[in-house]
Amino acid sequence: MNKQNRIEIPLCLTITDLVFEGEKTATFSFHLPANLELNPIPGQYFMLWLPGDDEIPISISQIENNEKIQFTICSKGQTSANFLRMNKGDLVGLRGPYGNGFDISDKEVAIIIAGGMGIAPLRFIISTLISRTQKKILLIHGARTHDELFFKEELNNTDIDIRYCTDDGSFGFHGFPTIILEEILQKAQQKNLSHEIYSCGPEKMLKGILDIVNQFNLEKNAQFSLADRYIRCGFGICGSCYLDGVGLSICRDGPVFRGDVLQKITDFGSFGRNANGSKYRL
Amino acid sequence: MTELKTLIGTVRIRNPIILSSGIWGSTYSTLNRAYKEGFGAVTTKSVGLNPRKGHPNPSVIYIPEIKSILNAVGLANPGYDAFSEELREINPDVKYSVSIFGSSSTEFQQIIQHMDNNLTGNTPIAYELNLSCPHAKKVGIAVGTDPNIVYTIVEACKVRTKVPIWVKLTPNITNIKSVAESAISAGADAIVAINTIKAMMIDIHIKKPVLGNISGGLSGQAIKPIGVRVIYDLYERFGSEIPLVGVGGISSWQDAIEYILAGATAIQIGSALIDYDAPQTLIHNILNGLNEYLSREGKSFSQLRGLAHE
Repeated sequence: MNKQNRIEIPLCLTITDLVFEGEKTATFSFHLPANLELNPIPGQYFMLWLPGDDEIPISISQIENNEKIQFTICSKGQTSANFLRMNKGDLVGLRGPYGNGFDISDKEVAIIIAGGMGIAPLRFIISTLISRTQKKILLIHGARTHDELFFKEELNNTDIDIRYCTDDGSFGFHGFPTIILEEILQKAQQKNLSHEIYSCGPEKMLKGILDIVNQFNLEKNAQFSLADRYIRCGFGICGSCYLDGVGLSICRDGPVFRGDVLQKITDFGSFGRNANGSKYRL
Repeated sequence: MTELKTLIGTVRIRNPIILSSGIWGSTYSTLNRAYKEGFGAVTTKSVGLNPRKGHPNPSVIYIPEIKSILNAVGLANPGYDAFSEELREINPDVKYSVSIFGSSSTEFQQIIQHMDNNLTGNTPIAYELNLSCPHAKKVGIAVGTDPNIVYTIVEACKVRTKVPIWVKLTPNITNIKSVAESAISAGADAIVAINTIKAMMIDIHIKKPVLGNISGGLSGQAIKPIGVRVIYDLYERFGSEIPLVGVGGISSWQDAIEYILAGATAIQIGSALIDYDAPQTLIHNILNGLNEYLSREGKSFSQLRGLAHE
């Protein structure tokens, strides 16, 4: 088993800060007790329990000094909507960190591709890459519309290169991040640099990215977070989030997978499973 | 290597370690994978008449201090119709049993008949009747603690199918022997024991129960001595008259042997998988330990059964 320290039984902590990033999206901060030494990895997630309601998996959006931890929640179901009605000082149960996170690679160029809420876990890897490496970092930051390009100001204050794009053309390039990625990889071919790709966002976008990196034989250098799927237990036991193909779980084997593994997952980009185990087309 | 092929009534499996119900078994891919990793057979998650999304989360909590899991998943399943389509995708070499829950004998019959009709290409080795889930209304424990109801359900299933009927019993009962007796006299082909033990957890800061369903069932190492006692009692009462599948807290070869000495024919494993990224290592460790023990003792696997009673 993973030797990483972990909170297994929900630990109720007060919300120390709550910042709205957009109309339906907010970042929640908590102070972890100093003795826990959780050392979470970018891409890992916690189960966040709203007592009296439900518990949902949320990727870590930032952590400072192993103490101040942040989660960015977008209202899209009943529980996430109720989270957004919480206030500073309210109690939330946390257990984690769970799952397989991103590998920090030593490749010369890091390309980070965020679609919508996918920026939240990627924000954590961006800060980790900045603090640990001198490599070139390029972020392709996409969203449906300008208002949903979360953390824009914060990221603009870093030294990384950012290419923005929106589905409606309200900011940056008018179109999908995948188009920019393809362009970049084509140009990069001539420069002979090594690349590592980190991505998170809607699964259709991730599928598009996998198709592109395949063309450039980069599937082993591309990592994808599938954090958007249903998770129940968090540690691979209950079977609710297993993917068809080779029988890997989102909650323990994922949510971050490399492209060569995703190629064997037949559900990827096509089918999801809901809480009762029924399959649905994505 | 000692011969570890195991016979449970008429069912022959390649080794005595079965994946228990409720762990992993929601999809054909995980059942295929679990079998490939070395289980002698695998059990599906319990399926019922209609789709159920189960209880709100938290519904599965690991308690490290006692290496045990508290759960109130609440029999989440896609319904028998969709699930039988799922099971049709299981590889033909995989030995699997289908766990079924219901609130009446007609419900059990309906599901079994449908499975029989749909799974002709790759018939299950058994139907495991879940008469023991402690955290869902009107099913599981609600029908599994009354000897008369147990008799009616098992009898109704037996007349509908040629597939062996295994009955999974609850330890949440004063006299498990009387329920087992009903199941056996109605024609059960094996008894599986135990299911989880009713349990709960309260958060002392918010002063509320942690599980979405308030109470649930405990599995894992904490319940092993209870499971061993139940198997011991059942073997004492029924001897080798009925195969017994021992389940509850097994995570090592020593645990497996303890159950077999108590009277188990085979064992099931579930919660212990939490310690492994892949079950292969766990299964390998148990089978190796079992083999070495048998050579040291100069006994065959079947000779080990119930020795603690002599």
